[in-house]
Formats: sequence, C-alpha cells, structure tokens
Amino acid sequence: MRLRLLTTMAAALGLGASGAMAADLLDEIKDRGELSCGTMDYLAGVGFLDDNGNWSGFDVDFCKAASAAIFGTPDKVTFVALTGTQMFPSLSSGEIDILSRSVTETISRDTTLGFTFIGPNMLTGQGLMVHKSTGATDYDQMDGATICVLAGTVTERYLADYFTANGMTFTPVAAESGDQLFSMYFDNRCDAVTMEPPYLAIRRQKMAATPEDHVIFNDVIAKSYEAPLIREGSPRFHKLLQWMHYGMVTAEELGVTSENVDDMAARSTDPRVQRLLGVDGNIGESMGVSNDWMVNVIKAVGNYGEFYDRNLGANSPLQVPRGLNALVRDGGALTAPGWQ
Amino acid sequence: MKSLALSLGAPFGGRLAARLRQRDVQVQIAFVGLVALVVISMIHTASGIEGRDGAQSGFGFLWGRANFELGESLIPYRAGDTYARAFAVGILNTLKVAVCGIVLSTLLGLLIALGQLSPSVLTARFCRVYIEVFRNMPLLLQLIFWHTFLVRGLPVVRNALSPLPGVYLTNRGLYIPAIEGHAAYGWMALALVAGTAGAVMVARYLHRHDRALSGRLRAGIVLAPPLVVFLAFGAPFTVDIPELAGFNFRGGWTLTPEFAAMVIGLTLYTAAFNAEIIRAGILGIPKGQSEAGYALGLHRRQVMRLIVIPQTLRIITPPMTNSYLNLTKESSLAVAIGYPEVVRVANITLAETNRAIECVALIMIIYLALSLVISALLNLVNARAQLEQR
Repeated sequence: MRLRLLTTMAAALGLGASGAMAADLLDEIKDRGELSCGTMDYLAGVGFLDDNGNWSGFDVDFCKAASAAIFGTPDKVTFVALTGTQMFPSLSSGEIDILSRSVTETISRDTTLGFTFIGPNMLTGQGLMVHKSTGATDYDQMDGATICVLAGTVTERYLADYFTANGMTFTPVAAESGDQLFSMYFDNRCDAVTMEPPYLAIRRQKMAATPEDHVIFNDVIAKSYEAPLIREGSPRFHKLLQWMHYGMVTAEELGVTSENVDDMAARSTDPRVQRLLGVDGNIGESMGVSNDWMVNVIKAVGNYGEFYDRNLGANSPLQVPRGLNALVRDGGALTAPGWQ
Repeated sequence: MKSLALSLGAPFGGRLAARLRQRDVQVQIAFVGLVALVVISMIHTASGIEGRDGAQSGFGFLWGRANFELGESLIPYRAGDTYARAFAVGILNTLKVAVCGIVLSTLLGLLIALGQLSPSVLTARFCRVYIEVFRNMPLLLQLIFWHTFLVRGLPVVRNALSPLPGVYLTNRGLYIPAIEGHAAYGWMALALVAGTAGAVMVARYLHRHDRALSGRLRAGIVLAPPLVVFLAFGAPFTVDIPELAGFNFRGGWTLTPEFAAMVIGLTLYTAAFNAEIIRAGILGIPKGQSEAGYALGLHRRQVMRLIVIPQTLRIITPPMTNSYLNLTKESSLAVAIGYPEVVRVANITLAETNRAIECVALIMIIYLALSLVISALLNLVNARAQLEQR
C-alpha cells in the first residue's frame, strides 16, 4: 500500500519535471503569475532596497519592465538580493528567472555556464579609484599596489589579467560585500579599489568624507558589457527580454516617452511607432504576450533614456554621464535592430 | 552454544547471515541504502541541469588556469597557476590559522582556567567575565570587529609606527625583518628531524640499560646535525629588512590584518571554551591528589604542574579534540573578512567556473580530511594519556 503511494508520487514528480522541461520558461512564469528576479540590494542607482522595502535602481527596473511586458503591470516581481558568489548558483538552480545584477558578459560565461545574456544594456568598463595622496594618475604607476576587489566578480580576474600582461604585481584584498569593499578602501587598507567607473563615482559621492581626495582613472582596463541573463533553453523568454531592451532603445529613437506613450498609441500616424506600440500588427501576440506590451513597458519604466537618467543619469543624484550608453545619433554606442 | 560456534568456527557466510538477522544491523543497512539513494538521485538531477553536459563535470577543471590573485600564500602562487595550486594555497592558509589558533587558544585557555581557580577573587571574577563575554558573542561578529579595529585603529603606511628599526606597524599589516630563504634551511630542517630521531633512539637504548640521557647531551644530539649542515653551507644568513617602496613596505615578513584578526578572534573565542574544559578537567582530579602533594611540601604551583595538570590530560583530551575541530571548521568564517583560506578559494573558483557541486564537494572533502587528521592525532595523545591498567 505504502509502496504504491510512493511509486505514484515518484511517477507524478517525474512527469512534472519532464513537463516543465518541455515548456518554455515564459509559459511557466505566466502560469505562476510572478517573475523572480535576482539583483543586489546595496548600490543606490543600480539595485537598492530602502528602509521601507522599496526596490529601485537600473537592474531592478529591468525586471519591473519584464513584469510589465509579461503581465501588463510592473509589480509582479519577487526580488532576491544576491552576493557575487551566490548569483550563478541561484540562476542555475532555478531560484530566480532573471539575473539582473550588473553581470559582465564574457564568452565563457555565455557559452560554458548554460546561461544566455540579454543585451548588453549597460556599456562600461573596469576602472580604478585611488587615494589622491598616492600620487598615482595612471595604471602603469600601480605596480606593487594593494587593491581592494569584490570577491567572486570578473573584476578580480580582469585585474589579474591586466597586471600579468603588463608585468606588474598587486596584492588583492577581497571583500564579500560592496559596503565592506569601500569601507576598507576608505579606511586606507588598500591603495586602490576596482569596479566599473559609474559605481566608483556613486560610492565616492556617498561614502567619501572629501570626494576630491579620490581619483578615478579616466581609462578603463577592460570593456564591460553588462547584461541581465537567464538560463539557456527558453528561447521565447529570451527573445521577449531581448526585444524589450531593443524596444526601449527604439522608443527613445522615435521620441516615445512614458508621458506621451498613450497619446502616441492613440494618435501617431508614424507606422514605426504604430508597430512598436502594437497598434499595427500582432507581433506581441505571436511572442506570447499582449500586443500593447511595449506600451506597458514604456509606461512602467520609460524609454531607455528615461530609464537611464532616472536611475543613474541626469535625473538622479548620481549624475553618471551616459557616455557609450547614449544613442548612436548622440555619439554613443546604443542601437537596436529594426522593428519590422 | 550455537552462538559460540558461530563466532568461532562457522564459515564466513554463516556468520554474515547471523549478523544480518540482527535488527540494528538491518536498520543501519537500510539507512546507508537510503543515503546512497539520495546521493545518486542528487547526482542524477545535477547532471540533468541544462547546460551541464557530461564533459563539463568532474574535477578536470582543477588543472585549468586560475586567473586570480590571492592576498597571501605560504607557497609561491600567482595568477595563471592552476586551480589545484590555488586550492593548495587555501588549504595551507587554513592550516596556518588553525595551528596558530589551536596553540594560542590552548595556552590562553589554560591561563584563564587557572585564573578561575585562583584564590584571588578578583582574578577569578575577571576570568569568569572573560568567559561569559567571549563565549556568548557570535564569532562572526568578533572577527569583523577585530578586522575593523585593526584596519581603522592602526596608522596608514606613510605614518607607520616603528617601535624598533626595521619593524613597522600599519593598517596593512605588521612588517618585520625576515631571514632570506636559502637551500641550506631545507636541509637543516631534515638534519633536525634526523637529530631528534637520533636522540630518541639513544634515550631508548640507555633506558633499556637503566641509564638516563642528560638534558644537555640530548640537546647536543638534536642540534648538532643542523649546525653541521649550516656550517657546511658556509653559514648563509641574510636578513631582509622591510623598506617603504612605492605604495607599501616590501621585503621582510608580513602579518596581514586579515590573518591577525582571524587568529585573535579564533583564539579569544575558543579560549573561553577551552578554559571551561580545562577547568572541568582540573576539578575532576580527586582532591586527595593535590592534598598528597601539599603534604609532601610542594607549592601550589608545583602541585598543579607536576600532579594535577598531567592527570587532567586524561580527562580533557576528548572534549579538547572537539574544540580544536570546531576552531578549524570555524576558520571558514574568514570569508567575511577576506582572508584567503580554502572557502574563499572555492568561492572564487565557483564564481569563475560555476562548478558549484565540485567546489562544494571539495570543501566538504577538505574539512572532513582536516577533521579526521586532527582527531586521529588527538586520539593518539589520548591513548598515551590513559591510565595503564593491567
């Protein structure tokens, strides 16, 4: 009797597992009614959890946009705060659907880990911030320096690569969290701290007693294409997120903003706008969401420019210049394939 | 009668069958079977995870290049060496902390235990407060406290404290002069081992003929071979004095704040537990033993050293083994302050290669091995300390 119960349960589990394998993650998320998003909770402008339990930031908004695309509303997301060492196991184990945590896209991460990147949605590089008192102004003066690094991030590896390639040495001091990393640096445990320049600028503004005592080098030692990522094997979910990013870029190109999106959907006679907003054609439905999905996304987080400026750029206290993240027509590198 | 036959003369198969009829054996076999089933199903599930094909699992990645630096290392290591070497660095750093912590926490624990039993009320109270404070605070908090204390409390490199020439104390660490490495030192260590073995053999030989080896002669036998080797190499002796070069002091020997915080934290925390174990051990020796000592005219200190403490060993070795095992395992909390021990190495490797299962398995194997070695060593001590009963 008991044995029969066990076999039934095992069979049911087996069926359930194989069923989940076959369906696309997009359907699974729609059935579940909620998206699970791994991010960080300590860096204002990128991923931040405030005292009232509100999540904000660039990486957080990407998941809100995804929720808007799938469910029509940005609030069907559960956020999970992850450290650098937890992020990949959380994604591969299925605890989260999207890892939106300023992860640098690299070939080995894209091809050998069983993950697919969406984007890049943030183009930056790896920089250094040093104490002005060291007198260093460029990387070639850093031989023998002690450098604070965030444990388990690609910055550790790029730094080692750079120093090896240039015949220099350094001593790393590893920190488990971003707060610890910068408090060690500002306590002078390290000569320098490495991270992407926008994040260095954020920390300098927020944590340094006198921001002008710290120099951020102009050059970067490595390109850093940052992008959210998902597990491999869900092509429809992947395409949806990828085209959501392209759609936000296209919206900026076409001048569609969160303010005028309803108006544009109702009145615009521009066929490009009509296709983007789902007034014309049924691209959305063939992707598995509603036709006006881009309207929901733009209402929720805005076009790419609004999305960037609210979190990091001109409309935020951080004032990180857009740089490469500006549209091609504005001298940046941001562009998108055609929405035909 | 039947059972006697089974245990003495019956063939192996018969004995096995009899064993299998015992209920506790059946339960154990069932349990092992269950564990095996769980492990097999876990391996099956893991190999089914998307993107992980057969060629990707296994420990082959250990021979790949590890492109990260580690802050400190007992063996030469640089970015670009193998992951296996990085793991070796991590294991050695774990051992370094564990050995220092075990020695220091035992000494401090002994002092605190004796202090608690001291006739001075003030000393006894102080030791009691020490134990309660350090035993009841989470170790992680203590480690972070010591690390922050060392990094914030000590001067920066340019304002280094220099109590002695060549010795510098900064928030990057303590820099002291070091003797430069030379091939002779390795041979000297070997010669020292040979000398020690020689002394043991001579002492045994003399003991068999009812004669004792004098302390001075023993020291001579132990130290002569290394001295001969040292002179044979032309007495190589260069001192490497730390100097401020560029950003940091270079040369000499460095004690980093991460290592110092680990040793201080683990020592203070574990000493509180060790003190309680030692105190219990001392109280477990019958009063008659020390009374007999006093009756012979020995001082309190002599009674402790010659009569009570040697007998205490018999009682405290098993619980001390536990305490040492805990200290070794708790050294993994070093991750929180960035000391490059084995868990930190495993974490970076995991982040680089995403071999979560292999890396976690490696950590488990390493700690299991360390624990087994420590308990084996202390079991030897325990066996020797036990009362010989005939």
